[in-house]
Amino acid sequence: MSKTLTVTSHHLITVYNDMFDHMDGVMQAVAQNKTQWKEDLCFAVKLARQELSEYSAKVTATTGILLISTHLLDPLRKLRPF
Amino acid sequence: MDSNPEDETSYTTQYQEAFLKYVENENWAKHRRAPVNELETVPRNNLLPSATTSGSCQSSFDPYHLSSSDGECLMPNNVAEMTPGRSDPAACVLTTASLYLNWPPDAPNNWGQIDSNLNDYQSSQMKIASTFWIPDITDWWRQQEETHSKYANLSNVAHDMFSIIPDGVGVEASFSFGRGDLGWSQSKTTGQTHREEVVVRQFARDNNGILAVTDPEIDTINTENDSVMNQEAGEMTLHRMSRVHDILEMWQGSENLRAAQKKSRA
Repeated sequence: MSKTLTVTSHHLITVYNDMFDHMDGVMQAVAQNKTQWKEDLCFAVKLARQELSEYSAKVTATTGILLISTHLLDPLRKLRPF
Repeated sequence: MDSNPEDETSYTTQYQEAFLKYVENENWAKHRRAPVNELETVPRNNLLPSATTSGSCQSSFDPYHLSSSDGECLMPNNVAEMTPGRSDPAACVLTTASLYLNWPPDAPNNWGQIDSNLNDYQSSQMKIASTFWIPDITDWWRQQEETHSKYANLSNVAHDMFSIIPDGVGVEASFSFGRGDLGWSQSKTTGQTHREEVVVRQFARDNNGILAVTDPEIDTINTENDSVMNQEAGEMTLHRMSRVHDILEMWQGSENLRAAQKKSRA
């Protein structure tokens, strides 16, 4: 994201949502087999998801108005992801 | 701008309200007026578009309608009626923002050279690196501005918004700030310590890099420490000077003694 030459702030909430989806998919796939490394991976992904949830919970209409506004100004999405 | 999750209104409505309030406050701040805090007098649902509102405030491109008088803006009748004293550029921008939000999202196919399959993060992972940032929405807003479209009023707001880097906004700013404070090799630093360091650095940054506060009550300890250190430094200097003075006296005495011996020999 830091290497791009165009605006990126309107992608943040989408990135959050896609990361949540990706983590859920990984946990769902790993939970089917009970090998040690997969359990470790599932535990790590669960912690990462918890951490990301804390970040995502702070993007509210009060504290994350800039992120939300840039997202709303994306003509492709507007209010659709919410 | 309360966003109570338990509120009956959905997040969409809350975000929409917050965005409209932000746009209006920004517009009023640019006009050097008092910030607007009571937007509830404007029922925004009534500002919403119909199929015929696309021509409002769009007679000529003039961002925020700086050159127009208060009565020149062609607003919908319901806006003029429900916002007494608000028939000004702020109301125009607010109307445009409401119109923009309630219009369905634009299709990428309308953007000409842009392939809809390369739209976003949903594309295949091999293509993410090259296509994630496509399309460039700044072109879309520039096009709105150049063609004097119905969203032209909002293009300046978009310019202001998109000039902000994501690393400097909200929780991402805190994360970036913490990452800069904590190196990759400092894996044993506890969260509490790291939080305190970030708070101190944030305080210093907000005070132009000065950690010492201007409150004399809080700064008393530093003042006393400084005075004690200055006093000790002064005493050390005097001590050195006294030693030098003693050496000079001894040297002068030995010189006098030597001169007296020469005289006696002669």
